[in-house]
Amino acid sequence: MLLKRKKQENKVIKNKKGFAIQFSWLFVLIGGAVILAFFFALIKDVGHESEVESYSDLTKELDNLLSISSASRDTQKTVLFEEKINFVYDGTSRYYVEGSNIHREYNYNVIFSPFELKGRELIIKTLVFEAPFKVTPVLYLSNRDIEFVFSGSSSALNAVYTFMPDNLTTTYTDDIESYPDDDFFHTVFVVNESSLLTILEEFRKPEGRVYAVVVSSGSGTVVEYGKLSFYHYNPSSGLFVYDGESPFLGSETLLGGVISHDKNLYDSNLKKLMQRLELLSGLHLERVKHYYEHVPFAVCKQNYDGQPESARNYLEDIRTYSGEEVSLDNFMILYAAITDLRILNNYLITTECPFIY
Amino acid sequence: MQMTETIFVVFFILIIIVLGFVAFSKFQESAIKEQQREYRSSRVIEMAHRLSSWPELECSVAGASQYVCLDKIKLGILGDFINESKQKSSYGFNYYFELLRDSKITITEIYPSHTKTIGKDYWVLYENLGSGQTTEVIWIPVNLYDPVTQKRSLAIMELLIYE
Repeated sequence: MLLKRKKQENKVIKNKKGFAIQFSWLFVLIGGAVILAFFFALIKDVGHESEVESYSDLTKELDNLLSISSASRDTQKTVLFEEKINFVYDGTSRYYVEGSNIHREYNYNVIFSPFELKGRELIIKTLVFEAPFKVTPVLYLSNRDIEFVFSGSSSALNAVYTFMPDNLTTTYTDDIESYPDDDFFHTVFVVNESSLLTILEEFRKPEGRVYAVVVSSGSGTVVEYGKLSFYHYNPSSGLFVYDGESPFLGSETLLGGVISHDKNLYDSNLKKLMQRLELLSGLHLERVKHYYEHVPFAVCKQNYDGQPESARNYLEDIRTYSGEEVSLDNFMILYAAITDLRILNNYLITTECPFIY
Repeated sequence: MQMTETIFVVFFILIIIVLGFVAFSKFQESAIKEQQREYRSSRVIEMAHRLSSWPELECSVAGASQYVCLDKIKLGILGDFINESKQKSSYGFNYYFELLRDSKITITEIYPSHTKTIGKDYWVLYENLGSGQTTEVIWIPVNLYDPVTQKRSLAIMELLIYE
C-alpha cells in the first residue's frame, strides 16, 4: 500500500517536474524574444537617428557656408559639396538637402541660385548690393555642372559676363541651333534677343535642363536697369517657352537673374532686396532729417533738405519706389534717384558737411 | 523552484538593462546641454561681430566702412525704428527678430561721457525678452563716431541672449 502510494506520488512529482521544465523553457523563450526585439528596435532607432544626424550635419554645414559667405564682401569660394540642394519659393523661401526632412527658411537673405543644384562642389560668390549706400550682401550659388552659353552682343551681356563667378562653365557661341550637348546638369543660354533662341538640333534629352535668359537694357547703353525674360526649352515642340519677365536694377540683380534662370526664385529675391532697400532708405532719411536739424551750416542744410532737389527728395523717391510694385518704370525712377544721391554724396565729401552715407 | 529562479534572473536582467538605459540618457542629456551652450556662445560672438558691419549701424565714408565702429546717429535712429516696428509687428521688426531672436543689445558709452542717459550715451538697440532666464552675456568694446561733431568715443556693446 505504502509502495503504491509512493509510486503514485513519484508519478505526480515527475509530471509536475516535466510540466515545470516545459514551462520554464517557454518562459525563457518568450523572455529572450522580448529582449531580442528590444535590441533590434534600439539598433533600428540608432540607425535612423544617425541618418537624420547626417542630413542635419549637411544642412548645418550649408548654413555655416552661407552665413560665412554673407559676412564677407566681394569674395568667392569653392567648396566640396556632393549632395543635391533644392531651393523652393512657395510664399516662403526654403532650401534643403535632397532626401532630408530638414528645410531651412531664408526669408530675409538674398540668395540667387537655380531651383536645384547638383554636382561635386559649390561655388559661392558674394557681392554687396548698393543703391547707392550699402543695402545687403547678395549671394550667388552655382557649380561647374551648370553651363552658361552666351550668344549675341550688347553692353548688358558684357556686364553679366564680367560679373560671372570665376571657375563657372561659361562659353560663347554664334550658333545656338548646332550647339553641342555635353550633358551638363543645366544648360543656360544667355542672349540679348529672343530671336536667337532656336531649336536645338544637337541636344539629346533636353527635358528639364535647358533654359534661357534674354537680357534687355533699359535704355540705350545703360546697363544699370532693364528687363530679363525667362524661358525653358520644350523638346516636344522644339521651342523655348516663355516663362515671364522681370526687371533688374544694378549688375547685382542682373547677375542674379542669370544665375537663377528661374523667374519665381528671381522674383522672390528681388522682392527681398527691395524690402531691404525701402527699410534702409527710410533710416537714411531719418538721419538726413537729423543732420538738417543739428548741422549748423546753412550750405549743408540746403543739400539735406532744400529745394528743388536734395538728399531728402532722393531718399524719399528711393523709399517710395522700392516699396511699390516691381516694374521697369519704377526701376527707371529708382535708378535716377540713386544716381543723383551718389553724385550729391560725392560732392559733400569735398565739403565740411557730414556725408549722407 | 527552478521556474521561480528563472523568473527572478530575467527580472534582474531587465532591471539592469533599464538602469543602463537611464544612465546613458543622463549622459546624453548632459552632452546635449554642453553642445547647446557652445552653440549659444558661438551665436552670440557671431552676432556681435556682424552687428558692427551692418549698413544701418556702421561708420562709413562714401561706402568704405570702418572696422568695429558704430555711427551714433544711426544707433538712435535704428533703436527707435526697431521699437516702433515692434509695436506694429511690421516687416522691420520681423527682419531684426530673424537675426537677433530673444536678446537684448545695449550700447553704453564709457569715454568721454558716462552718464548713461538714453539717446545721449546709452542706447537700447534691440530688446525682445525671452520667456527663459538670461543664459549668455558678452561685452564687446566698440568705437562710436558722431558725424555731426566729428568726434569719436569709446563704448561697450552688451549682448544678452535669452532662452
